[in-house]
This record gives sequence, C-alpha cells and structure tokens, in this order.
Amino acid sequence: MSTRVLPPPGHSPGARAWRRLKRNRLARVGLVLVTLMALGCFCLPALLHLDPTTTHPAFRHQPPSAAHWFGTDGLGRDYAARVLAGGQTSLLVGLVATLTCVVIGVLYGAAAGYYGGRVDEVMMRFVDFMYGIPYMFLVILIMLMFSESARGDPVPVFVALGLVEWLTMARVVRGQVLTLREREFVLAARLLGAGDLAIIARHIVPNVLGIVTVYATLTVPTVIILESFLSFLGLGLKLSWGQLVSEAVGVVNPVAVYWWLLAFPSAFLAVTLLCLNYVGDGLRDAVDPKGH
Amino acid sequence: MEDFPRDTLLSVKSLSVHFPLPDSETAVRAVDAVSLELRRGETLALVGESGCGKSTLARAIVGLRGPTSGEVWFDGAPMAPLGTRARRALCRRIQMVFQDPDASLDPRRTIASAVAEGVELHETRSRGAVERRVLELLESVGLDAALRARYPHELSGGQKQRVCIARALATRPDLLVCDEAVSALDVSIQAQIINLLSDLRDRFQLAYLFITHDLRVVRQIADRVAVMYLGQIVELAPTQALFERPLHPYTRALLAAVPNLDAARREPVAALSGEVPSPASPPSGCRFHPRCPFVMDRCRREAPRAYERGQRSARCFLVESEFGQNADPEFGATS
Repeated sequence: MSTRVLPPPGHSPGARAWRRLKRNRLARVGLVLVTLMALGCFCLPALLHLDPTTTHPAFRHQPPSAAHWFGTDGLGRDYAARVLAGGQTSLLVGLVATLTCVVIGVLYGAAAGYYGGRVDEVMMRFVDFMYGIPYMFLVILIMLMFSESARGDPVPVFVALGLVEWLTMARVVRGQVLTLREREFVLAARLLGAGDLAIIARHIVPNVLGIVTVYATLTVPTVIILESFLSFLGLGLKLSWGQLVSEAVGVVNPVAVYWWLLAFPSAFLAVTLLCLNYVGDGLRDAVDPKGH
Repeated sequence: MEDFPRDTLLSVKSLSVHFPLPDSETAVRAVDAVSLELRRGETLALVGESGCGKSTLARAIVGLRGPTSGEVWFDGAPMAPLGTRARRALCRRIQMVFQDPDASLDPRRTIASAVAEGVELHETRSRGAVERRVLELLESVGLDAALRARYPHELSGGQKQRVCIARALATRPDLLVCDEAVSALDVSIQAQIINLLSDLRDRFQLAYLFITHDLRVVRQIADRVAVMYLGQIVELAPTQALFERPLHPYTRALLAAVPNLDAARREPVAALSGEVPSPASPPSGCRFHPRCPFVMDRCRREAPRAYERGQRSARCFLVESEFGQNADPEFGATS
C-alpha cells in the first residue's frame, strides 16, 4: 500500500446538487437574472456616474428619455439612479437579515434538536410563543425601540427582520437535527468518543446546510417584501424599492400620470422576488431530489 | 454473583431496558433482566425475531441507550455512561457496526475522512500517520485505496459496510458489536462480509457480539448462541450443541424455520403459529407459552428460570428434570 496513486476525486453531495441545479432551466434563468440585478444595482451607478440625490428643479417629473432612461422624480432626480440605489439597499437588507436569521436559527435549532428532551421542549415553546405574536407588531415595536434619529438607518431594519424570520429557520433545522442525531453515522461518532461540539460541527451542521441554503434563498424575497411593506408604512429605509413604490403611489393623481415612478421599482422588485423564488425551488429539488 | 473471571471481556448483569408508555402505568420491557458473558476473542451470536429486543440490548451494551436497571462490566470494571470522561478510554475498545450501511456513513464526508475519525481521536493527529493508517485499514477490509477520496453514495452496499468495519477497527477494539451487520446485503455479499469478519477476528483477536435473525449466518461465525424471545434470553449454548440438539421449543421452531438446514435429520416441527405478544404486556408465566407446541398447565402460571448445565442454559420447564433444580457447581455456571 505504499504506492501513492492519486485517487480520482469523488463527487461530493454539494457538487451533485449544483449540477442538478444547473440542469433546472427556471432556476438557471433565475440565478442569472438575480446575479445581473445585483451586479447592475451595485456597479452601474458608479460606471454611469449616476447620482440618486442630485436635484434638477427644471426637470421635474420627466418621462423616460435618452438622458434619463427611467425619467425623473418630483425633485428632478434621475430615477434610474434612484431605482438602482434602492435595489442596493433592498438586496442588502434581504442578504443581511437572512444571514442574521440563518446564524440564529441554525444555532438555536441545532441546540434544541441535538440536546432534545426538556431543553428542546423549553426552546421550542419559546419559538411557538414568538410565532403567536403578530410579526408586524413585533417589527414595529423593535423599530420604535431604536431612537428617532436612527429611523431610516439600515441596522434597526436588519435586526427587526432577522429577529422575526429566524423562527421558521430554527424549526426547520431542529426537525432535521432531530432525525440526524439518531442516524447511525452520528451514533458511530459518539461511539468513537467524539464530543458533542465535534459531532455538531463535523456531522450535524454540514448535513443541514443543504436545507438551510434552500430556506435562506426563500427567506431573502420574504425579507425584501417585508422591508418594502415597512417602507410603505414609513418605517423602512430612506431609499429602497418599497419606499420608491410608496412615494410613487403618493403622487398618483388623475391629472398627470407618472407611470414610470411606479412601474420601474415595482418591476425590479417583482422580477427579483420571482427569480429568487425560482432559485429557491430549484435548490430544494437539487438538494433533495427525492422530496417530490 | 460470581466475580469477574480472568478471560471474561464483557459481562452483562441483569440488564433491563424499559420504555415507559405515555399515559399508562406500564412500560415496554424491550430487554428484561438479561445476563450474559463474552470471553476474549469469542463470538457470541444473539438471535431472535425482529422486535425481540436484540438491537436494544446491543445499544444498551455499548451505551447508546441508558439501561433501566442492571450493569454492563467491561474488562473487570463497570462501564461509565457514554459521553463521560471516564468512558472515553473505553470507547476505543468497544466498537459497533450497524445494519444499514447507507445511514452509517456521513454522506458529506469522504471514505478516508470516515475511517480517519477514530484514528484522529485515539491515536495521532499527524497527517501523514493518519493517512498511512487509513490506507492500512482500507487494505485490511479489502478495499481499494483509490476509493478513499470517494463519497459514500459512490459505493455499493458491500463496500460501504467494509468502510464501516474499517472505521470500527480504526481504534483497535477488543469487542465489535455487529447489529445485523450483514442483513441489509445481498446473499453473495453477505458471505464475503462474513468471511472478512472471521479473518479479522483471527488477525486482531476480536470478540464479536453478533446480532442477527439469520441462523445460517450464526452457524458460520458464532462460537456460542444466545436465543432471545420477548426481551429474555431463552437459551444459551455452544453453536454446535444448539444446532444438534436445541432444548427450548422456541429454538427448535427457529431451526425448523430455516430452509435446507439438515432437514432430513430432524423430525418436522410445526411452524410457529400466532403473533409475537406485545412486550408491554407479556403473557403470564412462560412468555412463550401462547405459541408453544408443548405447553403445560404450569407454563401458564409460573415463569421458568434459566436452568443451567455446563455451557448450556434454557428457560423452559422441559429441561428442568434433565438439568436439575440447581446449577451444577462442577461446570462453574454463571447466571
């Protein structure tokens, strides 16, 4: 056995899931569009020297034109710049709030599922209790706990949305861990003398990552729409798709139809949400092909 | 109770595992006051129908399930519960191979990493040494070294079971508990794995607790056989003696149910009728009496104890006259 032939590399379950995802046309299209959307929102403003805050009082409410692709708003600001900048915050909120909820949800759910018994009972009753509180009430409460000056800042929004969304993640992870810890490979690791932390880190967490990725991908659009809703209520961010839509609705009147103010942010929001949902569905099939 | 004899490796002392039923006073008595011993390098087969408690007994012995009462002694000392510091050193010496090779390997870790886990925990963390040891282990279970970078889903059932055996051997154990280790495999693969297990036993002086419902497998590998029925051991005998002359009616029925096994030499025995009773409410008296072809009035009222003589014991009134009321001291029988 001293001959050291390089063994052919194996295909990890992750690599196999990725291959299956790429074969799913809707998910592929969704993934490409979301990537383009993110690249566009974050790179285009700098490349095209678009500034969402410069006002041109002479060019208020201009319809789309060669100079202003998406037109201008009531203060004469370039609307393309505003939609892209709004996309930055919307996508960022989705990402950061989702990461918050992944971290809390995975740790909480893994602990409850792995230790089971009384610990699980108490931890999951708390989750049930949190579920019982209307989430909007909770979010508004958290938002109001931050000072008036922080209104419109991203941090309170991240915290509020993350704190609401982690509940589902915790439930999903806990259910998975509950079955995983009875699986023979975990028993075998216990018999080898591995400690709890080692088992959770080596065997439990890697095996829930697939399902966590699926739920995280589906959480991003949920969070984005929640944030839009908050913006609509005047509790969201200073500049996001939701807030742009909310402003546009505010200037709807029967005399002058500023359709571009409503159409562009709505379309961007809808396309992003749709694509993320397709990617999430595709991931679900790719991670667990037996699930359907 | 007799003290620990020198060459005894494992001693199970009146071990019970009960599962309390919700909203009820009763409990499922999966394992009920089982005592048995295993010597160094010996293979003891534990046979019985599914649901008789063999897997629960195995899991209680290795410590995956806390016993309701009773003790498990290993190499002269009672075992501490799994997960405690005192138990960690013992983990090296007792390993287990499970029934389902698919569930036994972490789908996200390579073969090399599965086998290496035990080496890293108990022997060395040096990368080169771990790698050498992994190759050595793969070779000893007859696996190509090229498989080490593969993932479990890329292997066949037999290969996966070989990996599980290699992982168990990684800690250089004294005792290997095989819980239906070949039941999930094709018959041709079964034979290969059985041969591998007997080779490894000779090479590493392993003791096996071999749990199975397949008597053909028992005959190939076991030195002694314990027959389990509804949580109790009803007969214990050397393999040859058990197959030649089963004492307990349940053992006779089990042997009769095996096709093509010296069928000509034995008079036909009626197949067992009826279902296995629930271990939550075992029958009064002898637990086997509702299905026993030789049932007597006494069996319904009174539970027989294990009558012993020499290396054999049977929990049946039929052997009472032959084996006598008391254990024969000459043979140094144990409970």
